[in-house]
Amino acid sequence: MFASYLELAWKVLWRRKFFTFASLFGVSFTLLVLTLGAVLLDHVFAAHPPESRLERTLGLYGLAMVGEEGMRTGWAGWAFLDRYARDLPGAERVSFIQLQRGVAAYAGERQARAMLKRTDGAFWQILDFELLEGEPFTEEDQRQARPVAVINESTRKRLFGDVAAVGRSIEVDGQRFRVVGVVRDVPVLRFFPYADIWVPISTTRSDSYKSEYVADFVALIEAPPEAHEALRAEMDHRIATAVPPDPQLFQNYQGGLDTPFEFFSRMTFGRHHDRARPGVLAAVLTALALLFMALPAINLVNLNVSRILERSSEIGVRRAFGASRATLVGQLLVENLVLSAIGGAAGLLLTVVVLRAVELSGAIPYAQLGLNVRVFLWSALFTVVFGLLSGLYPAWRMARLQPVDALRGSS
Amino acid sequence: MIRHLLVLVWSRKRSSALVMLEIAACFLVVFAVAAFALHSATNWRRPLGFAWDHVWVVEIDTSVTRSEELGAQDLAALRELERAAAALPRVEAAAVAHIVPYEMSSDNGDTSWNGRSVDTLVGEVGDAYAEVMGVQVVAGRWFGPEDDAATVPPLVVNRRLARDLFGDQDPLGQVVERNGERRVVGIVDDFRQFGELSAPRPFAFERMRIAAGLRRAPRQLVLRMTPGTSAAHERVVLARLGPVVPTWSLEVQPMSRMRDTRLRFAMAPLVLGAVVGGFLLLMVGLGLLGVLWQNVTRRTRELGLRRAAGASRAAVRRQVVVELLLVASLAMVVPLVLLLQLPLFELLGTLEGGTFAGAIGASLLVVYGLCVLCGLYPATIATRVEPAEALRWE
Repeated sequence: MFASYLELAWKVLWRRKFFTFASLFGVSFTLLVLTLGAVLLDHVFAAHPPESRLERTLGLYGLAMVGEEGMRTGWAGWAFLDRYARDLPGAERVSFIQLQRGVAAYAGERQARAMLKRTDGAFWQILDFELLEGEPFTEEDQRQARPVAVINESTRKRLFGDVAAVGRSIEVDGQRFRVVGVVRDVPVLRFFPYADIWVPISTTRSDSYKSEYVADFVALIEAPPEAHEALRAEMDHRIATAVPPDPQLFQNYQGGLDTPFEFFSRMTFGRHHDRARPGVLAAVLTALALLFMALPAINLVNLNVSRILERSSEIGVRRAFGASRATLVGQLLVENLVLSAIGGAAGLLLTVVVLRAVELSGAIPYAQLGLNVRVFLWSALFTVVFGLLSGLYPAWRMARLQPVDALRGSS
Repeated sequence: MIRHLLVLVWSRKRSSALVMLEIAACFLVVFAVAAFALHSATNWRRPLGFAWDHVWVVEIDTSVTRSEELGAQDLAALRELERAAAALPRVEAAAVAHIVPYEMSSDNGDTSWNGRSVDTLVGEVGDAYAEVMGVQVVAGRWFGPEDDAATVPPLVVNRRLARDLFGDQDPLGQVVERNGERRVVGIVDDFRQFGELSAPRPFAFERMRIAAGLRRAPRQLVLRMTPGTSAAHERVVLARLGPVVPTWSLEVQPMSRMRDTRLRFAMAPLVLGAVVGGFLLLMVGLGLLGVLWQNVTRRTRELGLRRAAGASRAAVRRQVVVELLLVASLAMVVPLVLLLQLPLFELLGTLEGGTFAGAIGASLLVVYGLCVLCGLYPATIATRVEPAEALRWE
């Protein structure tokens, strides 16, 4: 039965090539845009190296000082983290990371622009960097303020060409560092681990960062997932009771432990950094996707309705010979799913091509926009939803056609 | 004729409902893209208020905590740094600054006068800044040594702020409230900190004087370079300035590079929107073509009757297209009414009246154009059938 539906669907699609092309164009293009969106979200927020243990990590990413007169929004400072985020009960590891900034790096005569990030030993344990050479620096290096650096693959290529870099020295920011490790490039949209060169925080020339409460540091905290709730509550409590250094200007802190997705929604929707509201962000993204799908769906419904009306005499014959409405609806849905499947396959193919083009163009530095299984399943879901969505109304219209009217060719 | 066609359209309202829905949605999409594009194009043509070419920016990381005043040692270092920079080969002028154009960060706050308050972007800059950045003073004067003795600190405002805050009155000499009292001494052109694609916003320059009482360290040094200076000179600048302030870190880059980054960020959504919008239009066009084709084919008998009764091919073709335009007009009434609420309730934000009207016009044009394009072919097909054939049509 199903096989004959498929065969019929195939024949019908070939009979009206223009309609088929218009539908396929719509389906594949819509899927292309939606899949690209899913790939991008996956690229930014899902667990990928070096953040492969995302479910075990929380971060204190943003911090704001609030007063009656105004607020200062930004990131935590070293002094704040040292005082409130260092000894959280239940945390297995804590790492402090300074946000990256652009510098010029030199090795002999060669020069390269690079993003420099200062961090500590725990950073390399919490995150899962793929080492190509040597070892990352350690907590001991951080304590002793040793001038050591980890660089990424691309920086090695720019500064040393294709040879090994460990043991050689680079000049960054007027300081000399010895390269101890080389890691695989981290995509720029992985904002917190991303950099080209990583060095210990303690190598900073001035100690003034140690007295800042709102500055440019974030904390990464590793803990088993079941401890996260207690950790968040503890951090919320500490932030609520902490008093900023200049109480005349600012009286309270705002912030909390987040996953990267939660932090993004905190930035977007939490008016004063007070709450993360990840549900709102998810809802907005879903609404946007649905809104975007509305026009293609209406378009497809229109095409399908036209196609059915054109086939009304065929449907009339089938109804007159006893085919039930359910059978006809089923047949049309199968037809639609076949169309969506073909369109979906074409859309996926297009997506692969576009992703490859984006990667090669270098528009997003170090991006690896592969179509992984998760994204593929998302696309498959889109396809099925699309097929059903665009098939329901025409199927319902068709089932209402009276055999007599249908045979006469009017609706 | 139109009224007659309206009756025809109305009698088929149920079968056209979906087409109308599609046209309405399409209209909204085109409006969004057109408004965004027009808004950007208008801004692009506006004066920028400064010249970015031949300007280099030295980022200074003084590591001075923001909550404390600068010590005598830091002040001496800053003064020495500014002097050394101005004395560099190929540097024509140098000035300290707390915010420079094309940066992602900004400083803003209220400027008030006479009970009126305007949200203002602020730049704290040294005396040579106007020379380095090519800022044109249109009235009054720029900062100078004569401000050293002023009891009320001077302020230079851009045209937009002058208009928003003072209306018709002469801003020069007025004392405004902005973190304390400040006297307006000059007006400059519409300085736009965020670059070519941004809308003009009220902007005020405060004078940065490296002397006791300076609460915030400058974050940049801007240098006006002799035209034709190559990038290799960047290292010379760093090598000469670095030793002046050994505990701070410096970083130099041409402003053109900051501009490129900023423009790329600003252009990306525009290009993306245009591409997606274009493909959506193509898709809708194909869909409409299919639907209209089928609709007209079904009406072959009716149209044949008109032909048999003496209507020319052109008249029938015109009927089909005009009917389609009527359907499109009806379809666009609802979204048009919705869109008109935007200016009524001042929900537009930075979108100006001209841009709004232009975007509405452009979307009407695009949608009507699409309908004519999609309707002509089916209309031609319909008129190709001979009347006698058409009347027998089943």
